[in-house]
Amino acid sequence: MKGNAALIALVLALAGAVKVPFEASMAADRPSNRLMLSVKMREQIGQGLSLALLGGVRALGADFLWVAARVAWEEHRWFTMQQNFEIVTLLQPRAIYFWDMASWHLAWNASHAAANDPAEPRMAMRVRNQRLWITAGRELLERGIQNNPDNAYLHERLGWLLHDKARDLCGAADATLKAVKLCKDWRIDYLRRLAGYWLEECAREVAPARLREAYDYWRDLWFKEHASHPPEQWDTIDKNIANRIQKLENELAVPDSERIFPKNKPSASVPPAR
Amino acid sequence: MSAPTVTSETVYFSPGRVWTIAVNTLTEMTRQKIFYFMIAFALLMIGAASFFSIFTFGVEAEYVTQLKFIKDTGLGAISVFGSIIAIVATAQLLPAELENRTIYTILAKPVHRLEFLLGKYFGAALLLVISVFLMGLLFLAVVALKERTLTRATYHETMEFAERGISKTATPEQRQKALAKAERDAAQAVAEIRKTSGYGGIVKALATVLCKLLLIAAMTLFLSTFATSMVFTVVMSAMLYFCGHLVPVAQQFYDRAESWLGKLMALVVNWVLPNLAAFDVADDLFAGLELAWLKVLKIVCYGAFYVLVTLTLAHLVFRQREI
Repeated sequence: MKGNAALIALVLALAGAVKVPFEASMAADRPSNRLMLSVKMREQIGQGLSLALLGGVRALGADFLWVAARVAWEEHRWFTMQQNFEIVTLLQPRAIYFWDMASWHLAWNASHAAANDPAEPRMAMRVRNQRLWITAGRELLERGIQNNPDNAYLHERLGWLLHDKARDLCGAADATLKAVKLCKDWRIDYLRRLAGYWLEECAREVAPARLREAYDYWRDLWFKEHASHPPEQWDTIDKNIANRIQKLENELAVPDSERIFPKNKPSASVPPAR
Repeated sequence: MSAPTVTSETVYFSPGRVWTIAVNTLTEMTRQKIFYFMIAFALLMIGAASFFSIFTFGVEAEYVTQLKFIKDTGLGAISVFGSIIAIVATAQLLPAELENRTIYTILAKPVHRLEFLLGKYFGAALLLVISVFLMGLLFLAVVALKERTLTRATYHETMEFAERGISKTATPEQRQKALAKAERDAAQAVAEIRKTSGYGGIVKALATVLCKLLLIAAMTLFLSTFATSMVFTVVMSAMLYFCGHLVPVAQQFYDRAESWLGKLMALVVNWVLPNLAAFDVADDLFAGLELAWLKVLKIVCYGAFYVLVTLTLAHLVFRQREI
């Protein structure tokens, strides 16, 4: 009997020795399998964690909580909605849709409701609460980016949040520039322009030192656009890029020799050699 | 003249006997109504999955969410009901044989205990394969039906939108050009929906779920080799099921724990228990990550390895059990 127990222990030990490196290789293949549990999150979810541990129904649990969040949204129970979002994104950290929609609800809907809260007569408190919701949305989205660092869409969404809600213009430009670097689909053209506009806006309103960076960005985009189109299609390239470049060349007093649009030839549409 | 004595040493292992016991076990199990109830509930849940589409927040990428909800519900139902079937079906195999005293008749014949054990396991495994096949078939049908509805709706919406956008003064050429563009856009949207359906991914996910269920059945069989009652086996199997899903948390806890006792406990859990969370590939599918067959093969190998380990342990216990 003792021999049998020893044999069982030996089998378990050997199995463990094989299992640990095997699992390490599997985890490397599938990063989404790792649950990101911060202390703050664990405090927040409490019993909700048990849902995560149901394993096979992790995704299903996330969906049901998403439905509960929807009900909370309809009934304007913002804190319940936020709590559900936290658990949902914890259970399915790779589902981009959850991060995107949850942050939008917090930063746009909940913040708007706080700014127009009829139960709060003090304007200062309304503004403060509005900012808190915007920050909550921003933090959630940033956590989404931490979990999905290569997702261009989340970077773009962060850009919109920073631009429209937090009014962090330079942050918005930087987030969109990151999105441009990561984007591999048809959105790239739109993102390139958006990043340029916001970079220029950041330079004009917050950091004048970045105006040159904005000019270089537009200039670079101008060349990229021409390089990616055959000469017969150059006329179809967005004229706004040319307008931005011309304006910035004048503002920055770029010497004629370095200009794309020299002063004496303001309508040039064919790019000179670099 | 005395009859030749048959000892266990002279009887060789026979896959034929294992198969006979397996088929018999499957027949016995299919006679029990509880499995039909379980499968019926699972099928009902999978079938009802398409109603989840009403819970999407907005119209933006609605098809992604609708298909996601259907896939989550389908895979979740198969995983949960499959696990219940795996535990309940396997937990009663040995106790029922002992209670009905049929095990004495079988083991009195030239049948190895290992053959008996494997036969019982493969019988349960066959039941699980059939259950997953049936549930998977309905699941794929529901996804296909939803995909068809979504693609049709998207196509018509895109074309109608384009029609409305065409100016009344537009020339026939302009109109034709606009409609051709709308046609291309609709085709692209339909292709996107078809890509989101991801039948290949679903089949891979079903394969990993089946692996998990087979492992759960093996673990339950191991517990029933030394358990004295079916209830004990069911409860302990359920505990092992949850603990198995806790393994990734134990791994994290081991890295972060400061007390040696905590580290030791996490180490033991991580060392002894199989990581059942490794079989859940739903997150990968919905994250749009490509689930290569090589990765699936790794998961299947991991499952097969643990089934082998668990059946070895079950054999070690069962061969010395006094019946």
